[in-house]
Amino acid sequence: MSDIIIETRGLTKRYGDQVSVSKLNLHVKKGRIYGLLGRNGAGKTTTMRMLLGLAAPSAGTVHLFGRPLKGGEREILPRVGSLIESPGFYPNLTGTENLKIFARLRKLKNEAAIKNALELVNLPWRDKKLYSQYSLGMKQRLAIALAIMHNPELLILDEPLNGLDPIGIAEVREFIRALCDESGKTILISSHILSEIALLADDIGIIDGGVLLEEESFSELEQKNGRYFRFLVSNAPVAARILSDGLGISSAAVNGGHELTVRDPRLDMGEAIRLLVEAGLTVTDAHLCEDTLEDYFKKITGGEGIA
Amino acid sequence: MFQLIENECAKLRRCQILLVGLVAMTLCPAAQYGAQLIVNPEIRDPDFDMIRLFANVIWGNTQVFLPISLVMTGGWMIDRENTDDTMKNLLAVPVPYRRLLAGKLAATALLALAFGLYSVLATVLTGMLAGLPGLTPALLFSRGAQTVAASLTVFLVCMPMILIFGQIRGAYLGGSILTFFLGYCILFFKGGFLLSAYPFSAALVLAGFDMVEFNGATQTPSVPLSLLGMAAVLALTAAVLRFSRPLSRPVRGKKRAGRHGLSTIPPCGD
Repeated sequence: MSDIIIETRGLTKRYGDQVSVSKLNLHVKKGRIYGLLGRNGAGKTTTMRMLLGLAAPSAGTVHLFGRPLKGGEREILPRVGSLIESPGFYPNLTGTENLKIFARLRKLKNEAAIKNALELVNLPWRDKKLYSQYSLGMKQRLAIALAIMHNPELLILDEPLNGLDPIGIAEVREFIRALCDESGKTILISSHILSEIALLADDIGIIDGGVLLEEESFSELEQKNGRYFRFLVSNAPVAARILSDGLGISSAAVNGGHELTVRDPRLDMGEAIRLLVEAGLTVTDAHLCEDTLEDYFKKITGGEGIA
Repeated sequence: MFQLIENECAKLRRCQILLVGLVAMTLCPAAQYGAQLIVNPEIRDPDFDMIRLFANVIWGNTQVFLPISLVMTGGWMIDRENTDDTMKNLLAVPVPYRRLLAGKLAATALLALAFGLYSVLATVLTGMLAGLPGLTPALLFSRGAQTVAASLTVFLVCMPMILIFGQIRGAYLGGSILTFFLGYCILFFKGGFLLSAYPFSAALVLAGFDMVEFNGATQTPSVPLSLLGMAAVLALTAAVLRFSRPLSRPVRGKKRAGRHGLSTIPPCGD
């Protein structure tokens, strides 16, 4: 079987004249966490709805597990667990009763599956509390329990950390990571929170205005972003000339009178400081910096990144 | 299908909307007997007994109480899947949409059966409390069966309304009022084609209700015409079911994303 679990080809969704998703070519590899990153309204949820057959594409195709989704929903979707948008459950039932409804539809005979799923998300089994009385975090946990209850191979999670408290976020993050690392599940997770994607994802897709702008692994991203050196010196133009003459570094960029950045990985920082000090310059700060995901997002989308 | 029906019944747990049907079925015999008490003595039926009470209850159920209760409850059962945003979870199982609707209709049929049985109980209790004569095991069986049969035939007539108004967001209440109006119209059909073929009349005819004795019909209704009327309703139901589609746009207004666009700050400051 192919290593690609989710593949879309030219996936497009239009609502009237409005294009929500445009010619999306998504590739999610087996046993990895794919972070779909984008602003609100970028097209993440619409994409996920099409991946689950909840919205019909205007054009393009969705392939899951190497098979076209259209016409194969009955075989494919039972292998998928999902959380789309906000949790949706019956307010007049308890958490356990809600899960029983879906367990029955999935023909899960064993109640242990429900119990295990609730335990995994730290919700009580057979609690008397109705769903309508749940906090936002409890609702989100129940939605995650529903997604994993039938032990699916693929999880499609739309902003699963929304509404959770700090401890809950850390727990669910670890839990999602463990699902991938220990159980070999493939996970597509969307978020507008850059730090969460940075902490979780193996691969990243950046979507903006319905267009997938970039798709690569996190390690590739780190390499591409590279590192840079930043110096604060008494005279930046002089320092740039010294580095060029003494170390052959011609890519030093002067920012104002005192800041110098060098994007050449060959630079030996110790040697550079020695040369600058020997030349009589004062070095007040020297740092090895890395671009953050936010920097990268800004660069790719050409926008501000953070509203 | 069995799982779907079982689920629909489980979903109704603690639902106050069931009270609509129960209150209606309780009120019907009380209202029918009460009407006898408040009319002028000259036009009061001196022979009002259990047979008359049952006939009035069947008539009242068909004309007013069941159409309102069944369309409201059945329509709400469909509507809530969108209101509670559970439709996406069902479709992702996957449960085929039309199958889901069919399951809801089947569950509403069970409710109609339950309402019918409850109506028999309420009628008997009302008759006993009022001290009406004529309650015998044979009457209980024959009129009880007719009450339940009328509940089921009225349910068949209500099916298209349940499907149509259940799928229009928030319209099930309006649908139940419209169905009440349609049910009420049987009052006007005392003869001719509509006496037999008008769906709500057909529901009574097919349940074995004596339209001449209790409805003042000027002629004996035709069972084949009633079957034709019911067949038209079933065909309409099948057509509505055939062309039913889930809402293409997601439910809006419940998403809890950050206030702005992208954020580097986790929602709770992790």
